[in-house]
Amino acid sequence: MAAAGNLLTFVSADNVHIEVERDVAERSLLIKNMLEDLGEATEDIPIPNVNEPVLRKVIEWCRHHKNDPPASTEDEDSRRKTTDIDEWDQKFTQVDQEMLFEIILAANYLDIKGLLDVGCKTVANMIKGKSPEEIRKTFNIQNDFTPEEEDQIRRENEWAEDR
Amino acid sequence: MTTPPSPLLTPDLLLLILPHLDPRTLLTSQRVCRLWAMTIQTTRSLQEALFFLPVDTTQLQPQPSLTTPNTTTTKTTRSETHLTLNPLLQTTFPSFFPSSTSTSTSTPNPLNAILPTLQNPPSLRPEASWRRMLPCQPPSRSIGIIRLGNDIGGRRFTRYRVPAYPTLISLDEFLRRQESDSETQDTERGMEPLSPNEDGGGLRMGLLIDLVLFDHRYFPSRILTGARIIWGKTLPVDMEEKYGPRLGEVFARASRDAYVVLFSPVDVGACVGVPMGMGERGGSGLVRRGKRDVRAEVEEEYRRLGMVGREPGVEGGIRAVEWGELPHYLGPGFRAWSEARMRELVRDMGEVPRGGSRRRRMRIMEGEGEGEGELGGFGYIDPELALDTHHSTHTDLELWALGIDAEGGPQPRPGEWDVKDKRMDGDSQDWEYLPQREAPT
Repeated sequence: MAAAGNLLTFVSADNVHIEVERDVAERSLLIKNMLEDLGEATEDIPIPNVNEPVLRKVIEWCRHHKNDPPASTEDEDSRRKTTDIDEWDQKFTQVDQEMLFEIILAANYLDIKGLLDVGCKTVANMIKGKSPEEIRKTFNIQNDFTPEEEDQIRRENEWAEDR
Repeated sequence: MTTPPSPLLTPDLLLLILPHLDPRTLLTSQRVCRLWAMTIQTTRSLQEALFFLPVDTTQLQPQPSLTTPNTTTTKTTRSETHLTLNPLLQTTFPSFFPSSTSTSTSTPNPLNAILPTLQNPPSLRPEASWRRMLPCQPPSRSIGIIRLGNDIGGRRFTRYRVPAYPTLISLDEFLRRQESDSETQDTERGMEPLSPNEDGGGLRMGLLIDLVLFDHRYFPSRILTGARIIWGKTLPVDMEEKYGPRLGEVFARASRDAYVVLFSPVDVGACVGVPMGMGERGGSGLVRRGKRDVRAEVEEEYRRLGMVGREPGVEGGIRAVEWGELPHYLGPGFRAWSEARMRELVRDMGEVPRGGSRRRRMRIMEGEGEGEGELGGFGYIDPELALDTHHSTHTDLELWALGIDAEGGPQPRPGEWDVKDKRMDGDSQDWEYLPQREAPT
């Protein structure tokens, strides 16, 4: 295990250098595995898919959560629970939709399970209770059904659409 | 840099988001776009969450303990004793999922659950997805039915088992299975755990609702206030108190392979041979309160949609697997219960107009054994059965009036008065309500 305070440098997609403590950076399994393979990293670490503002948000999350217990193996029940986003994370995810989506993509790319989970739950909470039309509008999703296809699905589930 | 892809259109990420949705949104979200529809329809865990597929218990516990509820205590929350009811169906058909603490007087008439769906005709369509949903997880292999009947000198029960075929509406598959299964059904199956893919995975909501809807013999409209739908393996306390430990034993056998048991206190003689689709003619059935015959309306809607229901009689797979005497049992809860029930009964009959032209003919007679019923001799009859008697052509039943006075006259004391509930001619819904002394012959 690397000693805390050991500083790494991330280079964002838009070529901004950001210093980050190694134990914070290791919340990312991608980075952790890479460091294990490399031994001591002395050079800058490029994060090609992530822009500076997003990368800073991701690092902010990792820093806050650096002492969390390591991600437990997939727990079926906790995965189902949606309300259990802690307060700090709720504040953290109060960003615009584009930023939220980018955080999710970054968390996915960097393999930060906890952050990915928080992001997905937040999006799910935004979807809950919305009609298909509202969902399409909110998230700019194209309706690519033929009218017949859509009608068939509607006929099956219309009973649940009136609430 | 180009716009990044939306997580909601990235299959891997969508798969991480959808499991957090509530079932209703998840179900309706199939209509968002093709990717969503495909993801929801082809992902096992999501199909399980929607109760379209049984939870694969083999993944959760090595030995599903369907037959030995008390011997295994596994760590999984889905152990056999833990029954999860379908939340979406619970809110859609609340009266089909009475809480285990509700009593017979507080349990709503299950058929009335059809009312909201009538007001929302899309629900009745044959392709409506609730029909395919499992009402409970783990799924039930069958539906148990316990029917009580009165006979001179005692009370009888019959227990039926309805195999969990997908539906009563499209009957081809049903009948084919019926033929191939007919030999194995005499011995009760249910000892072996249900495999996730067998029989479409167990009892579907469509069968349960159509059974209650179409089964005029076991669920005549008028009887349904006494009918109960019992989920799980625990007989509600008030029923044990009311009917005695023997019913508990029968129930325990019924719930061996049925997680849902329908209980109907029907007088056997009264209901034989009512053909499917006829409805019960005449009578003011409780279902028709408010001038609507719910069942007839639903049947009409079914016909309009081109669906043909079918009475699920013996030829339809219902088999009596056990019958016998149910000894009279006047347990501690009986008196309170029957008093409440009687009050309800009298209230249902409505105000008695004094000297009005529409008099309700209901005789209160003193003593026992009067009239042509020749039923004197036993002092206790389940008051619920009174609801059935006015369409009975076979049996007249006496009631123990328990001191309830609907006319505002002097209050008879318990045991002192009997209520004689008479079959009326034709469609007459009038009741005559007379003190015995004014009722000669």
